[in-house]
Amino acid sequence: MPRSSGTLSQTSAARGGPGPCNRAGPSQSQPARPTGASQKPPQENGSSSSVDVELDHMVINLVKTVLNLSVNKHLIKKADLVKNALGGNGRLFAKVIEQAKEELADVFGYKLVETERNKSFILVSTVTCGSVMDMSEDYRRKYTLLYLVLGYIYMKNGDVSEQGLWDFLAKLNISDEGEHSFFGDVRKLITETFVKQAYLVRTKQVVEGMNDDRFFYGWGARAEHELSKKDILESICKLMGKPSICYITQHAAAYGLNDDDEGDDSMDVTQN
Amino acid sequence: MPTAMPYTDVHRAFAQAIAHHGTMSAKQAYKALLAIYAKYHDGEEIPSEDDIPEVVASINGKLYRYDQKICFVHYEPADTDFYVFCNLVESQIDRIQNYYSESETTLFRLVLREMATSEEHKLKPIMCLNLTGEIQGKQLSKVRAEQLLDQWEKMGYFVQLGGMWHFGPKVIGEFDRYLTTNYPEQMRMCKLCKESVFYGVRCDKCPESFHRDCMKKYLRRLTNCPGCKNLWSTPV
Repeated sequence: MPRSSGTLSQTSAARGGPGPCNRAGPSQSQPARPTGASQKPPQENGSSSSVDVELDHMVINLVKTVLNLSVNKHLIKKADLVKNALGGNGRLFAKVIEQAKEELADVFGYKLVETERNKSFILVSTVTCGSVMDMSEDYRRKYTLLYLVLGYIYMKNGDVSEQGLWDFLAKLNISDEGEHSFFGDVRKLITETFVKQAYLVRTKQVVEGMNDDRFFYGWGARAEHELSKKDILESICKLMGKPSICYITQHAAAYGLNDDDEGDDSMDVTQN
Repeated sequence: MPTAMPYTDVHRAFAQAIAHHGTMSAKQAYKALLAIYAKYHDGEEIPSEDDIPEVVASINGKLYRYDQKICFVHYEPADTDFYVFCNLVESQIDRIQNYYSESETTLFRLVLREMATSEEHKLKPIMCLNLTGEIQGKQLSKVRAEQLLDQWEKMGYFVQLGGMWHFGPKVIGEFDRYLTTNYPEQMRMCKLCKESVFYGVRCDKCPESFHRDCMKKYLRRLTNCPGCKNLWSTPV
Protein backbone atom coordinates (compact mmCIF):
# COMPACT_ATOMS: atom_id res chain seq x y z
CA MET A 1 0.00 0.00 0.00
CA PRO A 2 1.57 3.27 -1.01
CA ARG A 3 2.34 5.57 1.85
CA SER A 4 4.19 8.70 2.21
CA SER A 5 5.37 7.73 5.57
CA GLY A 6 6.67 9.94 7.94
CA THR A 7 5.92 11.12 9.63
CA LEU A 8 5.07 12.45 8.15
CA SER A 9 4.48 13.23 5.65
CA GLN A 10 3.62 12.67 3.72
CA THR A 11 2.13 13.85 3.47
CA SER A 12 5.14 13.80 1.48
CA ALA A 13 4.60 13.59 -2.03
CA ALA A 14 1.50 12.15 -0.53
CA ARG A 15 2.04 14.62 2.23
CA GLY A 16 2.62 17.40 -0.24
CA GLY A 17 5.70 18.71 1.38
CA PRO A 18 6.81 19.86 4.81
CA GLY A 19 4.90 22.34 6.89
CA PRO A 20 7.26 25.24 7.32
CA CYS A 21 7.85 26.01 10.95
CA ASN A 22 10.67 28.23 11.92
CA ARG A 23 9.47 29.20 15.33
CA ALA A 24 10.69 26.56 17.73
CA GLY A 25 14.36 26.24 18.48
CA PRO A 26 16.29 23.04 17.89
CA SER A 27 15.51 20.40 20.48
CA GLN A 28 18.25 18.62 22.38
CA SER A 29 18.91 15.08 21.25
CA GLN A 30 18.05 12.44 23.81
CA PRO A 31 19.90 9.25 24.56
CA ALA A 32 18.82 6.34 22.40
CA ARG A 33 16.13 4.19 23.95
CA PRO A 34 16.27 0.45 24.19
CA THR A 35 14.65 -0.96 21.10
CA GLY A 36 12.81 -3.77 22.75
CA ALA A 37 11.67 -5.09 26.08
CA SER A 38 14.26 -7.82 25.79
CA GLN A 39 16.92 -5.23 26.49
CA LYS A 40 15.37 -4.32 29.80
CA PRO A 41 16.85 -5.90 32.92
CA PRO A 42 14.82 -8.96 34.02
CA GLN A 43 11.97 -8.06 36.34
CA GLU A 44 11.55 -9.78 39.67
CA ASN A 45 7.83 -9.97 39.23
CA GLY A 46 7.13 -11.87 36.03
CA SER A 47 3.78 -10.25 35.31
CA SER A 48 5.04 -6.65 35.43
CA SER A 49 7.49 -7.26 32.61
CA SER A 50 4.73 -8.48 30.34
CA VAL A 51 2.82 -5.29 31.11
CA ASP A 52 5.92 -3.33 30.12
CA VAL A 53 6.11 -5.24 26.88
CA GLU A 54 2.45 -4.55 26.18
CA LEU A 55 2.91 -0.88 26.99
CA ASP A 56 5.95 -0.68 24.78
CA HIS A 57 3.99 -2.26 21.95
CA MET A 58 1.27 0.31 22.38
CA VAL A 59 3.76 3.15 22.20
CA ILE A 60 5.15 1.77 18.94
CA ASN A 61 1.65 1.33 17.56
CA LEU A 62 0.65 4.82 18.59
CA VAL A 63 3.68 6.35 16.88
CA LYS A 64 2.93 4.36 13.72
CA THR A 65 -0.75 5.29 13.77
CA VAL A 66 -0.05 8.98 14.33
CA LEU A 67 2.40 9.00 11.43
CA ASN A 68 -0.04 7.25 9.12
CA LEU A 69 -3.00 9.44 10.07
CA SER A 70 -1.04 12.66 9.78
CA VAL A 71 -0.50 12.38 6.04
CA ASN A 72 -3.56 14.37 5.00
CA LYS A 73 -3.06 16.81 7.88
CA HIS A 74 -6.60 16.30 9.18
CA LEU A 75 -7.23 16.32 12.89
CA ILE A 76 -6.35 13.00 14.47
CA LYS A 77 -9.11 11.90 16.80
CA LYS A 78 -8.18 10.57 20.19
CA ALA A 79 -10.86 7.91 19.79
CA ASP A 80 -9.14 6.60 16.65
CA LEU A 81 -5.83 6.38 18.45
CA VAL A 82 -7.35 4.52 21.39
CA LYS A 83 -9.19 2.13 19.10
CA ASN A 84 -6.32 1.33 16.74
CA ALA A 85 -3.19 1.64 18.81
CA LEU A 86 -4.41 0.81 22.31
CA GLY A 87 -6.99 -1.84 21.40
CA GLY A 88 -9.71 0.23 23.01
CA ASN A 89 -7.87 0.52 26.34
CA GLY A 90 -8.42 4.18 27.14
CA ARG A 91 -7.00 3.99 30.66
CA LEU A 92 -3.44 3.74 29.44
CA PHE A 93 -3.77 6.56 26.93
CA ALA A 94 -2.17 9.27 29.03
CA LYS A 95 0.88 7.17 29.78
CA VAL A 96 1.32 5.87 26.24
CA ILE A 97 0.88 9.22 24.55
CA GLU A 98 3.46 10.86 26.80
CA GLN A 99 6.11 8.45 25.66
CA ALA A 100 4.94 8.51 22.05
CA LYS A 101 5.26 12.31 22.06
CA GLU A 102 8.83 12.05 23.32
CA GLU A 103 9.75 9.54 20.66
CA LEU A 104 8.15 11.53 17.83
CA ALA A 105 10.12 14.56 18.92
CA ASP A 106 13.37 12.71 19.45
CA VAL A 107 13.40 10.63 16.27
CA PHE A 108 11.65 12.87 13.76
CA GLY A 109 11.48 16.34 15.24
CA TYR A 110 7.68 16.15 15.30
CA LYS A 111 5.45 17.71 17.92
CA LEU A 112 2.10 16.16 18.71
CA VAL A 113 -0.19 19.01 19.64
CA GLU A 114 -3.53 18.65 21.39
CA THR A 115 -6.38 20.72 20.07
CA GLU A 116 -10.03 20.96 20.91
CA ARG A 117 -9.82 20.12 24.57
CA ASN A 118 -7.85 16.88 24.23
CA LYS A 119 -10.18 15.28 21.73
CA SER A 120 -7.92 15.65 18.73
CA PHE A 121 -4.33 16.09 17.75
CA ILE A 122 -2.24 17.47 14.96
CA LEU A 123 1.33 16.62 14.09
CA VAL A 124 3.57 19.57 13.37
CA SER A 125 7.25 19.81 12.69
CA THR A 126 9.80 21.61 14.81
CA VAL A 127 12.45 21.42 12.10
CA THR A 128 12.18 22.61 8.55
CA CYS A 129 13.45 20.14 6.06
CA GLY A 130 13.01 21.92 2.82
CA SER A 131 12.29 25.21 1.20
CA VAL A 132 9.09 26.34 -0.41
CA MET A 133 10.70 25.61 -3.78
CA ASP A 134 10.90 21.99 -2.73
CA MET A 135 7.15 21.60 -2.70
CA SER A 136 5.04 20.48 -5.59
CA GLU A 137 3.40 23.11 -7.77
CA ASP A 138 -0.05 22.16 -6.53
CA TYR A 139 1.07 22.49 -2.94
CA ARG A 140 2.72 25.85 -3.48
CA ARG A 141 -0.47 27.26 -4.97
CA LYS A 142 -2.60 26.10 -2.06
CA TYR A 143 -0.07 27.54 0.33
CA THR A 144 -0.15 30.88 -1.43
CA LEU A 145 -3.92 31.09 -1.05
CA LEU A 146 -3.60 30.06 2.58
CA TYR A 147 -1.04 32.81 3.21
CA LEU A 148 -3.40 35.39 1.78
CA VAL A 149 -6.29 34.24 3.93
CA LEU A 150 -4.21 33.96 7.11
CA GLY A 151 -2.65 37.31 6.36
CA TYR A 152 -6.01 38.99 6.00
CA ILE A 153 -7.25 37.45 9.24
CA TYR A 154 -4.07 38.54 11.00
CA MET A 155 -4.39 42.11 9.81
CA LYS A 156 -7.97 42.11 11.07
CA ASN A 157 -6.68 41.04 14.47
CA GLY A 158 -7.75 37.45 14.37
CA ASP A 159 -11.41 37.27 13.53
CA VAL A 160 -13.12 37.90 10.21
CA SER A 161 -16.55 37.32 8.79
CA GLU A 162 -16.82 35.05 5.80
CA GLN A 163 -18.28 37.85 3.72
CA GLY A 164 -15.42 40.15 4.64
CA LEU A 165 -13.00 37.45 3.50
CA TRP A 166 -14.71 37.02 0.14
CA ASP A 167 -14.75 40.79 -0.35
CA PHE A 168 -11.01 40.94 0.32
CA LEU A 169 -10.30 38.11 -2.11
CA ALA A 170 -12.59 39.63 -4.72
CA LYS A 171 -10.34 42.70 -4.71
CA LEU A 172 -7.51 40.35 -5.72
CA ASN A 173 -9.72 38.87 -8.45
CA ILE A 174 -10.18 35.67 -6.52
CA SER A 175 -13.81 34.66 -6.74
CA ASP A 176 -15.60 32.37 -4.34
CA GLU A 177 -17.43 30.72 -7.19
CA GLY A 178 -16.16 28.20 -9.69
CA GLU A 179 -12.61 27.17 -10.43
CA HIS A 180 -9.90 29.78 -10.13
CA SER A 181 -7.31 29.35 -12.86
CA PHE A 182 -4.43 29.32 -10.39
CA PHE A 183 -5.89 28.24 -7.07
CA GLY A 184 -8.62 25.85 -8.14
CA ASP A 185 -11.77 25.43 -6.08
CA VAL A 186 -11.24 28.36 -3.72
CA ARG A 187 -14.53 27.92 -1.89
CA LYS A 188 -13.78 24.29 -1.10
CA LEU A 189 -10.24 25.04 0.00
CA ILE A 190 -11.26 27.77 2.40
CA THR A 191 -14.52 26.40 3.78
CA GLU A 192 -13.51 22.74 3.90
CA THR A 193 -9.91 21.75 3.25
CA PHE A 194 -8.08 24.35 5.33
CA VAL A 195 -10.59 23.89 8.15
CA LYS A 196 -10.17 20.10 8.16
CA GLN A 197 -6.43 20.57 8.19
CA ALA A 198 -6.69 22.90 11.19
CA TYR A 199 -5.18 25.85 9.35
CA LEU A 200 -8.44 27.73 9.84
CA VAL A 201 -11.21 27.54 12.39
CA ARG A 202 -14.67 28.28 11.10
CA THR A 203 -17.27 29.22 13.66
CA LYS A 204 -20.95 29.81 13.20
CA GLN A 205 -22.68 32.69 14.84
CA VAL A 206 -26.40 33.18 14.81
CA VAL A 207 -26.96 36.86 14.34
CA GLU A 208 -30.16 38.23 15.72
CA GLY A 209 -32.52 39.62 13.20
CA MET A 210 -30.86 37.86 10.28
CA ASN A 211 -32.25 34.78 8.63
CA ASP A 212 -29.07 32.91 7.78
CA ASP A 213 -26.15 32.14 10.04
CA ARG A 214 -22.92 33.97 9.58
CA PHE A 215 -19.56 32.28 9.59
CA PHE A 216 -16.37 33.63 11.06
CA TYR A 217 -12.80 32.57 10.46
CA GLY A 218 -9.72 32.58 12.63
CA TRP A 219 -6.26 31.01 12.67
CA GLY A 220 -6.37 27.29 13.44
CA ALA A 221 -3.99 25.36 15.66
CA ARG A 222 -1.88 24.22 12.71
CA ALA A 223 -1.42 27.75 11.45
CA GLU A 224 -0.36 28.85 14.93
CA HIS A 225 2.27 26.15 15.07
CA GLU A 226 3.52 25.92 11.52
CA LEU A 227 3.62 29.50 10.37
CA SER A 228 5.31 32.45 11.85
CA LYS A 229 3.36 35.64 12.30
CA LYS A 230 6.44 37.52 11.20
CA ASP A 231 6.43 35.81 7.81
CA ILE A 232 2.73 36.39 7.29
CA LEU A 233 3.01 40.03 8.30
CA GLU A 234 5.92 40.60 5.96
CA SER A 235 4.02 38.92 3.10
CA ILE A 236 1.02 41.15 3.58
CA CYS A 237 3.22 44.18 3.84
CA LYS A 238 4.86 43.28 0.56
CA LEU A 239 1.39 43.02 -0.91
CA MET A 240 0.38 46.37 0.53
CA GLY A 241 3.70 48.02 -0.24
CA LYS A 242 4.28 49.38 3.25
CA PRO A 243 6.78 48.50 5.98
CA SER A 244 5.32 46.44 8.82
CA ILE A 245 5.80 49.12 11.47
CA CYS A 246 2.87 50.95 9.87
CA TYR A 247 0.65 48.28 11.34
CA ILE A 248 1.52 48.79 14.95
CA THR A 249 -0.71 46.19 16.61
CA GLN A 250 0.22 43.44 14.21
CA HIS A 251 3.89 44.34 14.25
CA ALA A 252 3.96 44.25 18.03
CA ALA A 253 2.15 40.92 18.10
CA ALA A 254 4.47 39.42 15.54
CA TYR A 255 7.64 40.63 17.18
CA GLY A 256 6.45 39.70 20.67
CA LEU A 257 6.22 43.19 22.05
CA ASN A 258 2.63 43.06 23.32
CA ASP A 259 3.31 41.18 26.55
CA ASP A 260 5.54 43.93 27.93
CA ASP A 261 2.87 46.56 27.27
CA GLU A 262 0.17 44.56 28.99
CA GLY A 263 2.47 44.00 31.97
CA ASP A 264 3.02 47.72 32.37
CA ASP A 265 -0.69 48.48 32.25
CA SER A 266 -1.56 46.01 35.00
CA MET A 267 1.16 47.38 37.22
CA ASP A 268 -0.21 50.90 36.84
CA VAL A 269 -3.66 49.71 37.92
CA THR A 270 -2.48 47.93 41.08
CA GLN A 271 -0.33 50.84 42.18
CA ASN A 272 -3.38 53.08 42.26
CA MET B 1 37.50 4.08 18.14
CA PRO B 2 35.60 6.98 16.58
CA THR B 3 32.73 8.35 18.66
CA ALA B 4 29.24 7.85 17.27
CA MET B 5 27.68 10.91 15.66
CA PRO B 6 25.30 12.54 18.15
CA TYR B 7 21.70 12.54 16.98
CA THR B 8 20.73 16.12 16.21
CA ASP B 9 18.21 18.19 14.31
CA VAL B 10 20.31 17.47 11.23
CA HIS B 11 19.18 13.86 11.49
CA ARG B 12 15.60 14.80 12.28
CA ALA B 13 15.29 17.21 9.38
CA PHE B 14 16.92 14.74 7.01
CA ALA B 15 14.62 11.93 8.16
CA GLN B 16 11.64 14.18 7.54
CA ALA B 17 12.91 15.17 4.11
CA ILE B 18 13.22 11.57 2.95
CA ALA B 19 9.93 10.59 4.54
CA HIS B 20 8.15 13.46 2.82
CA HIS B 21 9.52 12.70 -0.60
CA GLY B 22 9.25 8.97 -0.24
CA THR B 23 12.28 8.62 -2.49
CA MET B 24 15.20 10.93 -3.15
CA SER B 25 18.01 10.52 -5.61
CA ALA B 26 21.48 10.68 -4.10
CA LYS B 27 21.92 14.11 -5.66
CA GLN B 28 18.63 15.41 -4.25
CA ALA B 29 19.50 13.97 -0.87
CA TYR B 30 22.86 15.73 -0.94
CA LYS B 31 21.27 19.08 -1.79
CA ALA B 32 18.84 18.61 1.07
CA LEU B 33 21.66 17.73 3.47
CA LEU B 34 23.60 20.84 2.49
CA ALA B 35 20.61 23.05 3.30
CA ILE B 36 19.97 21.18 6.53
CA TYR B 37 23.59 21.43 7.66
CA ALA B 38 23.54 25.15 6.95
CA LYS B 39 20.54 25.51 9.19
CA TYR B 40 21.07 23.02 12.00
CA HIS B 41 24.67 21.95 12.17
CA ASP B 42 26.83 23.41 14.91
CA GLY B 43 30.00 24.39 13.18
CA GLU B 44 31.28 25.44 9.79
CA GLU B 45 31.77 22.06 8.11
CA ILE B 46 30.14 21.45 4.78
CA PRO B 47 29.10 17.84 4.35
CA SER B 48 30.23 15.72 1.43
CA GLU B 49 28.16 13.09 -0.37
CA ASP B 50 30.10 10.47 1.57
CA ASP B 51 28.59 11.74 4.82
CA ILE B 52 25.11 10.66 3.79
CA PRO B 53 25.48 6.94 4.65
CA GLU B 54 26.54 7.79 8.20
CA VAL B 55 23.61 10.14 8.71
CA VAL B 56 21.28 7.50 7.28
CA ALA B 57 22.75 4.82 9.55
CA SER B 58 22.12 6.96 12.64
CA ILE B 59 18.54 7.58 11.61
CA ASN B 60 17.99 3.92 10.83
CA GLY B 61 19.18 3.06 14.31
CA LYS B 62 16.10 4.88 15.59
CA LEU B 63 13.67 3.93 12.83
CA TYR B 64 14.23 0.24 13.44
CA ARG B 65 11.83 0.37 16.37
CA TYR B 66 8.95 1.34 14.06
CA ASP B 67 9.80 -1.18 11.35
CA GLN B 68 10.98 1.62 9.12
CA LYS B 69 14.27 2.05 7.29
CA ILE B 70 15.91 4.38 4.82
CA CYS B 71 17.12 1.97 2.15
CA PHE B 72 19.85 2.64 -0.37
CA VAL B 73 18.75 1.42 -3.80
CA HIS B 74 21.02 1.39 -6.80
CA TYR B 75 18.44 1.60 -9.56
CA GLU B 76 20.10 -0.05 -12.53
CA PRO B 77 17.66 0.88 -15.32
CA ALA B 78 18.48 4.55 -14.77
CA ASP B 79 21.95 3.91 -13.32
CA THR B 80 21.00 6.18 -10.41
CA ASP B 81 21.30 5.81 -6.67
CA PHE B 82 18.29 6.47 -4.46
CA TYR B 83 17.49 6.76 -0.77
CA VAL B 84 14.03 5.37 -0.11
CA PHE B 85 11.93 5.65 3.04
CA CYS B 86 10.59 2.13 3.50
CA ASN B 87 8.11 0.43 5.75
CA LEU B 88 9.41 -3.05 6.34
CA VAL B 89 6.25 -4.77 7.55
CA GLU B 90 2.61 -4.63 6.71
CA SER B 91 0.66 -5.78 9.72
CA GLN B 92 -2.81 -4.56 10.54
CA ILE B 93 -1.62 -1.48 12.39
CA ASP B 94 0.51 -0.48 9.42
CA ARG B 95 -2.45 -0.58 7.09
CA ILE B 96 -4.32 2.15 8.92
CA GLN B 97 -4.26 5.27 6.82
CA ASN B 98 -6.70 7.92 5.69
CA TYR B 99 -5.13 9.17 2.52
CA TYR B 100 -6.06 6.67 -0.17
CA SER B 101 -9.49 5.17 -0.70
CA GLU B 102 -9.88 1.43 -0.97
CA SER B 103 -10.28 1.65 -4.73
CA GLU B 104 -7.07 3.60 -4.98
CA THR B 105 -5.05 1.08 -3.00
CA THR B 106 -6.64 -1.65 -5.09
CA LEU B 107 -5.43 0.06 -8.24
CA PHE B 108 -1.93 0.10 -6.81
CA ARG B 109 -2.01 -3.64 -6.19
CA LEU B 110 -3.38 -4.25 -9.65
CA VAL B 111 -0.55 -2.29 -11.24
CA LEU B 112 1.93 -4.29 -9.19
CA ARG B 113 0.31 -7.52 -10.32
CA GLU B 114 0.22 -6.54 -13.96
CA MET B 115 3.81 -5.35 -13.88
CA ALA B 116 5.05 -8.42 -12.05
CA THR B 117 3.39 -10.80 -14.47
CA SER B 118 4.37 -8.95 -17.63
CA GLU B 119 7.39 -9.95 -19.65
CA GLU B 120 10.33 -7.81 -18.54
CA HIS B 121 8.21 -6.10 -15.83
CA LYS B 122 7.12 -3.13 -17.87
CA LEU B 123 3.74 -1.76 -18.90
CA LYS B 124 2.36 0.66 -21.43
CA PRO B 125 0.66 3.62 -19.71
CA ILE B 126 -2.71 2.68 -21.21
CA MET B 127 -2.46 -0.76 -19.58
CA CYS B 128 -2.19 0.86 -16.15
CA LEU B 129 -5.22 3.07 -16.80
CA ASN B 130 -7.31 0.18 -18.10
CA LEU B 131 -6.87 -1.62 -14.80
CA THR B 132 -9.50 0.72 -13.35
CA GLY B 133 -11.98 -1.56 -15.06
CA GLU B 134 -11.10 -4.37 -12.69
CA ILE B 135 -11.92 -2.46 -9.54
CA GLN B 136 -14.96 -3.74 -7.64
CA GLY B 137 -17.01 -1.28 -5.66
CA LYS B 138 -16.41 2.47 -6.01
CA GLN B 139 -15.15 3.21 -9.48
CA LEU B 140 -12.08 5.26 -10.27
CA SER B 141 -12.08 7.59 -13.22
CA LYS B 142 -9.22 7.38 -15.70
CA VAL B 143 -8.42 10.99 -14.78
CA ARG B 144 -8.03 10.04 -11.14
CA ALA B 145 -5.97 6.99 -12.12
CA GLU B 146 -3.65 9.24 -14.09
CA GLN B 147 -3.27 11.57 -11.11
CA LEU B 148 -2.47 8.63 -8.87
CA LEU B 149 0.12 7.21 -11.23
CA ASP B 150 1.68 10.65 -11.41
CA GLN B 151 1.83 10.85 -7.61
CA TRP B 152 3.23 7.37 -7.34
CA GLU B 153 5.89 8.21 -9.90
CA LYS B 154 6.90 11.25 -7.87
CA MET B 155 7.16 9.10 -4.77
CA GLY B 156 9.37 6.64 -6.58
CA TYR B 157 7.02 3.65 -6.77
CA PHE B 158 7.15 3.64 -10.54
CA VAL B 159 9.46 5.06 -13.17
CA GLN B 160 8.77 5.85 -16.82
CA LEU B 161 11.54 4.79 -19.14
CA GLY B 162 11.23 4.78 -22.90
CA GLY B 163 7.51 5.44 -22.58
CA MET B 164 6.94 2.37 -20.45
CA TRP B 165 6.15 2.17 -16.73
CA HIS B 166 8.65 0.20 -14.63
CA PHE B 167 8.96 -0.72 -10.98
CA GLY B 168 10.60 2.20 -9.24
CA PRO B 169 13.15 2.26 -6.43
CA LYS B 170 10.42 2.47 -3.77
CA VAL B 171 8.77 -0.75 -4.92
CA ILE B 172 12.18 -2.39 -4.96
CA GLY B 173 12.79 -1.16 -1.41
CA GLU B 174 9.34 -1.87 0.07
CA PHE B 175 7.62 -4.54 -2.00
CA ASP B 176 10.38 -7.00 -2.77
CA ARG B 177 9.06 -9.61 -0.38
CA TYR B 178 5.45 -8.94 -1.34
CA LEU B 179 6.24 -9.54 -5.01
CA THR B 180 8.39 -12.60 -4.54
CA THR B 181 5.74 -14.10 -2.27
CA ASN B 182 2.79 -13.41 -4.54
CA TYR B 183 4.45 -13.88 -7.93
CA PRO B 184 7.17 -16.46 -7.29
CA GLU B 185 7.16 -17.74 -10.88
CA GLN B 186 7.73 -14.34 -12.41
CA MET B 187 10.14 -12.71 -9.97
CA ARG B 188 13.78 -13.52 -10.48
CA MET B 189 16.64 -13.92 -8.04
CA CYS B 190 20.22 -13.09 -8.92
CA LYS B 191 22.21 -16.25 -8.17
CA LEU B 192 25.35 -14.22 -7.60
CA CYS B 193 24.12 -12.11 -4.67
CA LYS B 194 20.92 -13.97 -3.76
CA GLU B 195 18.82 -10.80 -3.95
CA SER B 196 15.83 -10.15 -6.19
CA VAL B 197 16.73 -8.82 -9.59
CA PHE B 198 14.08 -6.63 -11.20
CA TYR B 199 15.84 -5.36 -14.29
CA GLY B 200 19.02 -7.26 -14.90
CA VAL B 201 20.90 -8.93 -17.70
CA ARG B 202 19.69 -12.25 -19.07
CA CYS B 203 21.64 -15.17 -20.31
CA ASP B 204 20.69 -15.93 -23.89
CA LYS B 205 20.87 -19.70 -23.36
CA CYS B 206 19.05 -20.12 -20.03
CA PRO B 207 16.34 -18.21 -18.12
CA GLU B 208 18.70 -16.82 -15.46
CA SER B 209 18.87 -13.06 -14.75
CA PHE B 210 21.60 -11.26 -12.86
CA HIS B 211 22.26 -7.72 -11.65
CA ARG B 212 24.35 -5.81 -14.14
CA ASP B 213 26.86 -4.90 -11.44
CA CYS B 214 27.01 -8.43 -10.11
CA MET B 215 27.70 -9.74 -13.62
CA LYS B 216 30.34 -7.10 -14.33
CA LYS B 217 32.26 -8.14 -11.25
CA TYR B 218 31.86 -11.82 -12.07
CA LEU B 219 33.01 -11.47 -15.67
CA ARG B 220 36.34 -10.02 -14.54
CA ARG B 221 37.28 -13.51 -13.42
CA LEU B 222 35.08 -15.92 -15.34
CA THR B 223 33.41 -16.13 -18.73
CA ASN B 224 30.61 -18.65 -18.36
CA CYS B 225 27.02 -18.14 -17.20
CA PRO B 226 26.74 -18.86 -13.46
CA GLY B 227 23.45 -20.63 -14.21
CA CYS B 228 23.91 -22.88 -17.23
CA LYS B 229 27.74 -22.74 -17.48
CA ASN B 230 27.64 -21.95 -21.19
CA LEU B 231 29.74 -19.07 -22.50
CA TRP B 232 28.21 -15.76 -21.50
CA SER B 233 27.49 -13.61 -24.53
CA THR B 234 24.99 -10.91 -23.45
CA PRO B 235 26.61 -7.45 -23.33
CA VAL B 236 26.77 -6.08 -19.80
